[in-house]
Amino acid sequence: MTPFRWNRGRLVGDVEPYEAALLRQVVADVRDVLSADASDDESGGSAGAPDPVAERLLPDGHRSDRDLASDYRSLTEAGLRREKLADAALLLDTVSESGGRVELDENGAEAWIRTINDVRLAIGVRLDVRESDDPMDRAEQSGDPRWAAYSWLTAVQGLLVDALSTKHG
Amino acid sequence: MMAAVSGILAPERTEEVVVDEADESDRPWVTIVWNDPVNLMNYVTYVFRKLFGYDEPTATKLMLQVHHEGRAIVSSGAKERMESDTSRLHAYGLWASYQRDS
Repeated sequence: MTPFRWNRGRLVGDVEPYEAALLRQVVADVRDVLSADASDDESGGSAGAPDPVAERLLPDGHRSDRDLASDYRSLTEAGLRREKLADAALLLDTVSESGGRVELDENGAEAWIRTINDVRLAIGVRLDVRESDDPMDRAEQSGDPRWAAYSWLTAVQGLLVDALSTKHG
Repeated sequence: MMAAVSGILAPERTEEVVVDEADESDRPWVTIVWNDPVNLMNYVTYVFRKLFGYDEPTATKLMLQVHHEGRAIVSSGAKERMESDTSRLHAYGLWASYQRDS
């Protein structure tokens, strides 16, 4: 992955084949969590505990008032879920399985940054990431490849923030 | 850090049975962003600038408040607008909630 750069209003980056494969897999994982969670809701089911990843991606809007939290959810959850799924679909559409050049307009860049952040949040929940964790150390100590993925995604997110912050101001 | 600050919000408005109606409706609502261990500091600053139009120093100050104090009020106003601000922050993966100002 090279640093993203602006070229004629488009954000351009290059993705190695192994990076493309990793990116597509982790984004598809989040997409599947959001989709599975939605179909649970539709069947009216309380089949099992809610996925903590879905709870982090679609959190309560109010921390202690159940009525307000419920109002918020009925107002916003379906829309938020749709947006997150659309963002994930856009990312999957813009990075081919073999990697290569990625070109994004501003909306595409925003979809990328939101999706990669959601993926980091998802892995963060699964690994119970703490503020004091050094992902690279954890990757070495645990041998769990998700720590390495998390670390890499954090670097990609940093590149995107740098690029978008430049554009923004 | 999360456990330490969650108690701040324990007294909820549902307990306030003797509140004057006018005062209650005059009190504005606020949107709060909470610290979490995953979101990057410069990402949080970026989102504050993008969603609320804050300049860099204001956005950075709010981000640092979230980071050091565990939470920061990022907007205030009518309930409907705070619902909307909360959902825009959730779209970007920030840990946000709204409540009546305390």
